[in-house]
Amino acid sequence: MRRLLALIPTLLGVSVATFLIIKLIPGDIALTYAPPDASAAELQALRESLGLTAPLPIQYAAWLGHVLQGDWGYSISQGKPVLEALLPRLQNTMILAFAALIIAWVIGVTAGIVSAARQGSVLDRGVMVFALLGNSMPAFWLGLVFILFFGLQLGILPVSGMYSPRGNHDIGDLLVHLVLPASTLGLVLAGLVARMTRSAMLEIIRQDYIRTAWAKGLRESAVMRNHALRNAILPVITVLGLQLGNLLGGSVIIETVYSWPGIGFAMQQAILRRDAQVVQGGVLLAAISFVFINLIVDLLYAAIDPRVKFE
Amino acid sequence: MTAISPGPRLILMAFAMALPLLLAVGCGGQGAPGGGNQLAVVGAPKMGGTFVAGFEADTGPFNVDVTGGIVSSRALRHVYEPLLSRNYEDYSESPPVRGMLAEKWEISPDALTYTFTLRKGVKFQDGTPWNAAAAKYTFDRLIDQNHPSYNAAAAAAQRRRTGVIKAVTAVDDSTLKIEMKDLNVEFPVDTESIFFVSPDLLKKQGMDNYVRAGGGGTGPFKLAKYDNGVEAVLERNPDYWGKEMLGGGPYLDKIVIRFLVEPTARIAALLAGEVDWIAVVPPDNIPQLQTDKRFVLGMDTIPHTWGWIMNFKNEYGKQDKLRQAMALSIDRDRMVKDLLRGSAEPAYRFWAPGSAGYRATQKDWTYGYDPERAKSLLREAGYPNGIDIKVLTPNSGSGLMVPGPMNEFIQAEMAKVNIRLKYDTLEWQTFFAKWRAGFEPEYVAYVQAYPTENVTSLRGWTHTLSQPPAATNGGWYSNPEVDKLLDEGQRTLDQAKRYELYNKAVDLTAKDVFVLDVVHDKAPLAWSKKVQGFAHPKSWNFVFYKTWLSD
Amino acid sequence: MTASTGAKPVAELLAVTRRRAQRPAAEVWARFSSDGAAVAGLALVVAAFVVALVGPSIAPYDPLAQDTGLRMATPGTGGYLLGGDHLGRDILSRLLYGARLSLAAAVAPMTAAASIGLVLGLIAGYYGGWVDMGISRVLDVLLAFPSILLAIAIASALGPGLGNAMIAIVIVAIPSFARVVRGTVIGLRGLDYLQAARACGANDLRILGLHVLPNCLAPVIVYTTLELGRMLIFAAGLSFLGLGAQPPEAEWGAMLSEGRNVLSVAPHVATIPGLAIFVVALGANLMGDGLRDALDPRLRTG
Repeated sequence: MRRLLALIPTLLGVSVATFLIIKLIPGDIALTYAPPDASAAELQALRESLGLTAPLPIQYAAWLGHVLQGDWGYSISQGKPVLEALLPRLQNTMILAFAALIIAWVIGVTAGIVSAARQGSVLDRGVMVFALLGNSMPAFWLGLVFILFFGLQLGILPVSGMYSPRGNHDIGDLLVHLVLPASTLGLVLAGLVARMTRSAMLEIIRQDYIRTAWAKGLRESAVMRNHALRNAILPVITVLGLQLGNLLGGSVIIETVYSWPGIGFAMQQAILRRDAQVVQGGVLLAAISFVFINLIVDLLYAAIDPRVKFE
Repeated sequence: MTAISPGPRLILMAFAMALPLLLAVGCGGQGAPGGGNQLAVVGAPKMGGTFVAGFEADTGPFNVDVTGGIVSSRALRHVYEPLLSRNYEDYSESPPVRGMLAEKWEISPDALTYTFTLRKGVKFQDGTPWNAAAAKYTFDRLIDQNHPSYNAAAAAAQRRRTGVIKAVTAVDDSTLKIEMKDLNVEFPVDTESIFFVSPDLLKKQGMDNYVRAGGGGTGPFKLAKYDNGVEAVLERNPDYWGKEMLGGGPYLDKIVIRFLVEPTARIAALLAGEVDWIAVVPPDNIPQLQTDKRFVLGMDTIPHTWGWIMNFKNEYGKQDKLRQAMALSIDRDRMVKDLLRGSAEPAYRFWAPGSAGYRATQKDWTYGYDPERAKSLLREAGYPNGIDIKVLTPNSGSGLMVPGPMNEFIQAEMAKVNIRLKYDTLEWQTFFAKWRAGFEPEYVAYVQAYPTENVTSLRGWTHTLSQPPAATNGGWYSNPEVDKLLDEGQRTLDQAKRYELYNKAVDLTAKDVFVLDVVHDKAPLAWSKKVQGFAHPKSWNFVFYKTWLSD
Repeated sequence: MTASTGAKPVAELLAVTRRRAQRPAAEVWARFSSDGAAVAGLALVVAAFVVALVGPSIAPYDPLAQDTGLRMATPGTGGYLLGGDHLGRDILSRLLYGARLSLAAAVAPMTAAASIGLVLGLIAGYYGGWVDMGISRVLDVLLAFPSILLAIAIASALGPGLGNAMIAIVIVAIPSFARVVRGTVIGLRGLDYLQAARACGANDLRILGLHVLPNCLAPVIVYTTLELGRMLIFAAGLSFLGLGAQPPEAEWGAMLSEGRNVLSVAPHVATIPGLAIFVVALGANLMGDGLRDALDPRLRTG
């Protein structure tokens, strides 16, 4: 409960930042709402009624009030309220992010463990190279390469959208469409995860109590599993929690490449249409999600390691 | 109530008084013999199936009050209907006008009163009846500011047509009388882009909700779903009044319109079979589609021009010599051959071959390609070091072909004559809204694609009264001589004389270079061999009324 | 980009540089230069910078010159070594010119962010108390956003263009730098000789300038090196989304975005610029890893 309260200043800060960014946008909002033949006087009246002439802190308070009530502005390009335009997309982004996370986790953690266990070997070297490549590869480039290879040349996987136009939108259809985007995002991240898992594992292996266990004659795999892994999970979870931020951000690019109908894609379309409300709304939504996800990660962390105390 | 999206509106102008339309053959079509451009007969149509079409832009939320250009109106036409319209699924060279929600119409001898006999037995998709009261409701809400279902944008868009209306009367359930204040001989066919919505729905759901609630149209399909940026889904209207007219159609159970703005995604979707039909085939994929036996490619000259509408409020746009210089700097032949792979032809005029009523002139102001003269014009105008200009362009949309590469091509061409060009890009819907508000002075021109079906459409583009917010003369062009000719033309009942006047006006506007024409599109469309009942329409509009899927 | 690297690597970094204070530079260099991969990375990065500097003078063609006859020319035809793009421009020349834009888009914001972050971190770390809390709160808020999204928000608010994108990147990058510096300064605060200097009444500014600042430079440099690769990709990503360099500018991310349209018929147009980004980022990462390992072999992660 205390943790939730601690979030409030952060969330407030996020809202202030978003508000300030919105204020940066050049252009007269009144023009977008007014009919094409409005006179200068009408525009001024409109500006006043929209609250655009009030001092900044008051504008912020009014804006915040709206936001808390669910009024995030109106999307010019879609003809509906921003929240209504974005919320359905949030789910799609989460699906993509989650799938990518699973891929990154499975590949990354496995690779990291194996590599730590066989430190110095060819396998270890190989995993490190893989991590390096992942870190250096632009996700949008990898995405295009995948589209080229799997979609255009081999023609075995769909390259855009979430469901095929004919299908009945079932889970199988979704999974097939998920393969390329989630893999692109996941593989790039897997490298980082592998690296961090590896170094976490190495740290732990070096510690004395592990050596003691070995000395006692326990089988290596038992040692790994029981002691090392359990302790390595903690930093790995932290890393994954932070990666979700990367995933949310990286999804903008991946969604653009694959036309995946998530928040990122909606934001990119909004960028093209100069629909500022949607862009800022998307960022705010993502930031809020990120804050809450971090909270969940923290709680998870605490749950697994009783030694961690709440501050 | 679609706005004055240039397409349908101007298409309607084509039918002033049912006179033969001249259609040049143009360069002829390309594609599989007998394939894309002619309707092949392959047996009886099969009922059922889901047809998936890949459009190059978003159709918009199927709101008749929101202007969205040709992509929107193509889609809207499946759900809503006007009083009369062209027969787009006829695919002949000059599709005749036929009655839709009106069976026939009469014009009084002084041409000031129009009497429409409305079709009987038609119901809106929400079950309410179509009658003169419903028709009057739509006209009223476009004219009367205090009408409960008034929408300012729609009214402004239709003012060109409705502005001269004096009174609309529902004489009885199936007779609608419209009296005009002034002569507007193009009126009946002009009504093609006025779509009728169920008054009951408008009253119950209100202006904000009626689109989403659905059921407001009379057309062969109903809107089942609209997912912004992704797709629109239409379902067959089982109670459609015009089944006989469509030969038993519409045949399709469902039409899914996928919005595939990215050219790569669009062509990939067609090749992979994810969609059955695509618009705006990327020119670079044309060679491969021409040889791929699984698909049909349709390409034909349509009355369309792609170019720049000049801004007469811009410091460079208002100077004659500079406009001429810009027009002379582009090598259109090379653009068509290398960049567009034959999917267009060079345009030196506002009017495409085949535009009704238009006759070409050989006056010496037909601008061609002459970069040397362009440079000397710049010097003459006092800019020996060239000029820096900005142009506003949409990134995709109604008939805009592949604006990105075309824009960059023009940019490089102009650079050769010291015109340094920069672009600002907007998405189509936003761009169109800005257009309707009038060109901003910082831009020398707005990139646009315009239908040129009938020479009488010149009025909407060039008359002083057509300046925003009234109509599409967004560039603030004004020439009193032109206005005079257009006004006289509007009053002239005799078609030949009218065309003569309009052509004189055309000559004047061409001399003024009010637009910088670049190419005429041949609208490459492609579809899988499964798709039947469709051929290249030789027009801006196409409909899937009679489309069906074979196995 | 602390949101992505997390608190732990920052702590690592601080530990590293503290230890480094005990290791002379020569030894670090010796260690670095014996690492083949690190040297290769350094070479790549240096090469990239060289290309950025002299690229325009060695480019065979004008990057904006279109030859529609050579549209999407396959590499090697018509004198275009790496082929032509969708408008018939020489890809190699565009790569050479674009190196400037792509590298500048990463390096310039990093430098600016490092400078501003340095100042903020110094102030926050040195003075502590309310000043620290105030600055840290602001930084935390910025870090609460996924970095790309924050950059998108700012860049789209300001409008398209490389300049605005760079401003956005600066704002997004400042918090991480500030944190690194602040951590270092806090670590140094306890040092005896600093306390002694203060006790003697030495001017704060002198202390900051002469004693604290020099010790902060190393972590900042190391951090910059480590993040260079990621920053390069980040900046190219913004251009890819349409927020950074605008066509026809030959920035690598923008080239990739334009090449998307012809992916089905001429994949090299999009894949070659992407490869360029990849290679340079790879070099930067190798170099960064090598530097970190050279500073403290115990942290060797690969």
